[in-house]
Amino acid sequence: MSRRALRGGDREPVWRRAGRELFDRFERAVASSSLSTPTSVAAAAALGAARARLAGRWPASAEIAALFGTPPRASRRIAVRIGALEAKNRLTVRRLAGSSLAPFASLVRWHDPRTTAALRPPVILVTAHFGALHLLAAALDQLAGSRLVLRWSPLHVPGPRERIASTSGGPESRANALREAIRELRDGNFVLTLLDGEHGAGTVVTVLDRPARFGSGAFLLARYSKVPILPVVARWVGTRVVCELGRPVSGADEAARWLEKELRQDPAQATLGLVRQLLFEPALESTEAGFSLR
Amino acid sequence: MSEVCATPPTRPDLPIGRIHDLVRIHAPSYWRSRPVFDHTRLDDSGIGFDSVGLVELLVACESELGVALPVDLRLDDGMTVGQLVELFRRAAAARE
Repeated sequence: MSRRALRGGDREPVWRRAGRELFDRFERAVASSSLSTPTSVAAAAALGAARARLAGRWPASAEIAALFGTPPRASRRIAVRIGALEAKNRLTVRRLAGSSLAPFASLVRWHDPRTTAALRPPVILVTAHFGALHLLAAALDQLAGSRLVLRWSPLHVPGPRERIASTSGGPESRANALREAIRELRDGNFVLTLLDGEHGAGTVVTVLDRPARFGSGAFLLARYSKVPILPVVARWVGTRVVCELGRPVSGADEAARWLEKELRQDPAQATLGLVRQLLFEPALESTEAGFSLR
Repeated sequence: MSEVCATPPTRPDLPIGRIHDLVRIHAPSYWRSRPVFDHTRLDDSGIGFDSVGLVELLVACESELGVALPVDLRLDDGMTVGQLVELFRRAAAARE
């Protein structure tokens, strides 16, 4: 299926654009309102679902069907749920930008608090553009140990035990971040990085029978530091976020199988960025209105 | 880091010229048969090292030359082979 067909054509009807702008306005109003965090998350989810239902795209049912092989009705349901997830993530990004995680901390918990409490660094944690990615940090704050996060740009104000190493810029800047991460692991801390994405050194893996590009950074760190790689995921469950550690992975293919299992288990946790990356690899396209989750 | 000033003294047995060989060995395959000059850039504008390749090159150079780069060293974007050589010259000189 062509990219144009998946999107339902290149030209956006006037009524659809007007609807999108209206929903954008509502979402911004919710984000800047004084509503409590759980209430605003619920409101954002309702707006996102309504928007997806009315617009029938971002993501389109056809995109979901092409990716998961689901029948039309199930694809539509998943698309609407992804619409709600995207709206919750947009709210999170808007509220977190330049602020602390504190208002969201009470929403986030570990699936198995005892196992995670026993987790000791050094460990390389890897995640993906999946679920409540931006709130994972609130769960990681509960772990015993400091962490370095490799990311393109900072979002929230890091907590006392969190440091950011920027992966923006050229390969030298990213090499600096990787060297810093090696040092951090040697000092006995956690390092968190994303598996999927379009930046930096990567390797092609298969997810849902499609090529995806995983960064090579985590695997380089494991090789030089002899430290295990643990996948970790943050899932939206209504207005709450549940985080869970996966089993250790030894390489990119194994990590891809972990991500595929997570996606098959709950396709509605796929962010639009991940859906688009899998459909239109290798470019991770910006989402609507130039808004990027990154 | 990238400002190359007066060349600091180098340990006479330090095989600095070996860095060019290591650059070629660790370079993407399309570059391996091509010459490497001091002014050649390591990134996409030159040889095409990615971040992982650069870290592997640095580790290989450290191991081969027996010289550890400072832990807080920051590489500047647009680094050349000559600047890489200079880094190791300085690290070797600082060690003595």
